[in-house]
Amino acid sequence: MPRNTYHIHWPNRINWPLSARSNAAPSSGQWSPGSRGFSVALRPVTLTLDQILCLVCLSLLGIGLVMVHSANARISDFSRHWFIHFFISGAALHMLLAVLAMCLVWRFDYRRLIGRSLPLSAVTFLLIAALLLLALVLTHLGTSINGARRWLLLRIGSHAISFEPSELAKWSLVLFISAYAMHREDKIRDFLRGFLPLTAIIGITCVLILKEDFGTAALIAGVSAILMLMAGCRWWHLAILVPGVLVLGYFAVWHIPYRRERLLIFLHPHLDPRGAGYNPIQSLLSFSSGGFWGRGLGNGIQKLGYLPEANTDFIFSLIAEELGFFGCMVVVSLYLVLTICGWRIVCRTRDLFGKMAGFGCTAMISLQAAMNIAVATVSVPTKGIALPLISSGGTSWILTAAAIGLLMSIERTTRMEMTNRLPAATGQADRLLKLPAAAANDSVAMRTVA
Amino acid sequence: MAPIQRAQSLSTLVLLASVVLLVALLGRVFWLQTHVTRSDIRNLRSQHDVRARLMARRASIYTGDSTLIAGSVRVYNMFADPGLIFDPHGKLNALSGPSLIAARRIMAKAVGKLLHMDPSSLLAWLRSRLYYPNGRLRRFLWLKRGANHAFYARFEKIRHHLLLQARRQSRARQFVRAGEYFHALDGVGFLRSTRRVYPLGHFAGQVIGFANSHRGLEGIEEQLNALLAGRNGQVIYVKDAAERALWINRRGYRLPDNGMKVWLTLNSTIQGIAQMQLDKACRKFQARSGVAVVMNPYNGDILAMANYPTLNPNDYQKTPPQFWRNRAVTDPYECGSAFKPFNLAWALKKHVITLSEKFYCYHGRYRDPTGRLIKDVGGWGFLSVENILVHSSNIGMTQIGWKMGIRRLYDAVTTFGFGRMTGCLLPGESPGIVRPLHQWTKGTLTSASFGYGVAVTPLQLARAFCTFANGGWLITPQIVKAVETRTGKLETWSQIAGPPRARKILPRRVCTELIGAMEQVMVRGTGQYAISPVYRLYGKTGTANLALAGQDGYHSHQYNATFIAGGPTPAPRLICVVAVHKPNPHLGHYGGTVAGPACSRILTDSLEYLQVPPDQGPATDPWWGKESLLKKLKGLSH
Repeated sequence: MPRNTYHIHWPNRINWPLSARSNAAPSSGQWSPGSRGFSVALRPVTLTLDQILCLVCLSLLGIGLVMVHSANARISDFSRHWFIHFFISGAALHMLLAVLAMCLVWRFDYRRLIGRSLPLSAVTFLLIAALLLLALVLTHLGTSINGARRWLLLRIGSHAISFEPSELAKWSLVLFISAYAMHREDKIRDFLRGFLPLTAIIGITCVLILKEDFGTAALIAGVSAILMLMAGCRWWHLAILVPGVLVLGYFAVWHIPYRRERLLIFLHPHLDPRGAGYNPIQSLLSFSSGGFWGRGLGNGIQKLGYLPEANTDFIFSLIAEELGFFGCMVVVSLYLVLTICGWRIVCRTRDLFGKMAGFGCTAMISLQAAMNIAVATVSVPTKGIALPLISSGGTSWILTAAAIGLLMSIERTTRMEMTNRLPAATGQADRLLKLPAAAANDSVAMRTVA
Repeated sequence: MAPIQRAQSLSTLVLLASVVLLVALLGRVFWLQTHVTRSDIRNLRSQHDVRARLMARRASIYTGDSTLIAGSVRVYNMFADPGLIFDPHGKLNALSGPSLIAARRIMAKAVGKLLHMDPSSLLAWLRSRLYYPNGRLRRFLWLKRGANHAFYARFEKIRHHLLLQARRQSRARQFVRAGEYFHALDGVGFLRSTRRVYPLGHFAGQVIGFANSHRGLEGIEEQLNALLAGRNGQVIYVKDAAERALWINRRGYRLPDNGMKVWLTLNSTIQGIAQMQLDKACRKFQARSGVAVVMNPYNGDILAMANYPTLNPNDYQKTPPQFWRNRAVTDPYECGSAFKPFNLAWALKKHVITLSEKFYCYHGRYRDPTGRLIKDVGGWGFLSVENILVHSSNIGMTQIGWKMGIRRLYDAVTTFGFGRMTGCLLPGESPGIVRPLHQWTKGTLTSASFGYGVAVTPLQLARAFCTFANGGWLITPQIVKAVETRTGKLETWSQIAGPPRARKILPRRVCTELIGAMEQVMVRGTGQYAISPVYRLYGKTGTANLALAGQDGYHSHQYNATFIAGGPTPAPRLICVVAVHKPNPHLGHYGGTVAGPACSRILTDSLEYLQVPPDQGPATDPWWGKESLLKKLKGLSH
């Protein structure tokens, strides 16, 4: 090294958190000949897929926390204690819970979700609970925000906790289809005994969601269809459903005035700038306002009452305005990394449940992100759909983080199977029925190995 | 295909498709952020930005001795929002139902106290104006305009009192009552503006003119509007969707340039003297209007410019609009004999005549070569040129005019600046009426030689008369003395606009000769009523029949009485012109009797004010102290 260059002197004996678990000796500083300074050779850090996912999830949640605060900021809310308010807030609590949920599910062997039999499976209970809650939302117990009745409000004293059952239904349906594929592997190709019951359950869920939330319902329907194909359903069974779905879509879109308006106005929002065209126009103006470099964090103007739903559905426009192209690029890249990691995990796992659940989670998150960004960039008609892990919403953050935790759990289990630290799944249900014994091993193995 | 392989390939397909989708969307984001059109920016600005004007303060006007003539004071304009106060659709007011009514009563009581109105009649008045005639809800109504600060302070006190009430009620946990007090004055507000005031009232009203709160409308206020008004600043601030102002944009922020203070050449004392004497003369002779101008002959400063009837710019509506204009510059008229010195001066300069040359004056009745009858007031035989001037003989002047010829007489008229604007800054200036040379006939020659057929303004007359006092220089009258520039530096007008133009048109010899002759006018000629007991003055009378409007010929009993004078004779300091329009002919109509005394008193008083020492003794003045003889002489002739 030339003598006249300055080197960055890393501090000695810092074990980087990512490399701390390694068996290798901690890196130590040395006097290298020919250099005036004290240099440290850093060992390259190898990240496993689940670790990458963990980082991605934390990054997205962090960006979400910052941007939700930015969106909610008002001039009058400025306080000297903003730093405290930032960390003691609903969003921060949700983020904490989301990270906790992710870590818990990460440590959890996902194969337990399959259960001994389908009716007794945890997944089934989850789905039934979700459907009940969904039905409950449609009664007067549901709370409507901006005309959409999607939330359940639980009042505890003066505080209220809102809960969005459609989120729960989304994830539990993915798990249920996967579990169904495991338990009814032999009947899945049978139209009456395998295909129809599954379709009915999916249909009920979708219709319950469809009433208030078309975007989520469509997403769920699409992912479910692919999951059904993955489960082994005959493609022409699905093809039979297509006309029905089209008719349903026709009624769900064309016969509901605001959806029809949104669809019609989509290409020419300036025809109705104060009505149906307002959201797309304001979203596009946010992109123009930020330009390539952005206005700077917290400097957005559009969020001050102009951009509708700046903290949920149009948070991507806010990111574009405040952080510019680089902010958008970071966010989209995180989703890309998440998708690619998910895809790698799906490829690596050996059992069908892992593949299907992993695929379901990944596809749900990345397609939802794509839909949200497409809405924000006015590439598709306006739909109320959140940007996963960024848009404000406690239920969504926690459950999505848990879904990522499930992905990570799949990867971790796969890795442990590969290193023979866990009995390998063969992808057959009868094999999996022995799981409790394996799980006993598992907990030991987890403590010792992980 | 086994389900697991199918699952594998399907998931690969879908997830890679979503990767492609995300990348494509990122491209869309890039496109949106880099293709910002001009209309996007315009839409954004029209959505976020509010352009507010920062009003520049109109500058003051001072006299040359720094007395404030015109200034701007802050006034408060009170308005109401009847739509909010009555809120017929229940959308605007923070209150509703009984508390809205209670708050309205509180408002009516408070505002009624300020406006000295009964609360119920105030409410009735407001309610009667709740809608425009076309049925639209009225959101703005003036309650009082131009209120002073004391009024505003009283309003603030009442508002403070109501807020205290609100606090008291909320401490007593009477939140509804507290809200009523808190929102009581929501529908009442103030807008600040300025009003132009003229503390000296009638002082030089027509010269200064007047202004509204935005721009000058007449006089100097109009002419120097660009200097006085300054330039409004602007501030662009960002508002949120609820129309609340958030912060000030750096772009487009401009502080207001307040106007520049202007000092006029007018002297407050001399102007006062001129106005007073003109007023006296015009009232005494029941004149229709009158003008007096006092000038410094050396630098052209207009020290006084008085008009009768006067104009008070504070309430100019009370004066009829025909008296708004400054007649000293706008109204040309035929000045008659007062024009003779200029013709004579040119004849003397061109050596057409000498001062001692004699002309036969035909005892008052003479026919010029075209056969036109010329008459004199009184009749003389042979008169020297000096005596032609002293006695103001039209017959003598006609002969001199004919001796000069058309060309020379035309030169005389134009060289003294008649027929052209003087170049002073006063607005609406008239060039006078002088026909072009090719239209001059022998009749014009005869008329012009004793001051008819040529219309001049009093200011032109004064300016031309300055020529004799300053040794032959035709100067430019000045009205603006100095200006305070934006940097706060005081600059004279000549520093800003360049030195005033001046042209040497007469030799000193001619000036001296004419001043001597014109002194005799006051001593033993037509201007004897105008003689000053303190100073030796020189001057010339002018009495002209008014031309008939719209036809040839003259009124036989309607006159313009003019007197131009300067003094003191040895070293003239001031020039004064007094022109009185349409005096009552039963009371007097000669320039020497109507305008002369006023002119003489203006000069005497002004020279005393300027501390010019009185002329000493008979060594220089053969008539010194011989007032009794003078009185006798006054009875003899005009």
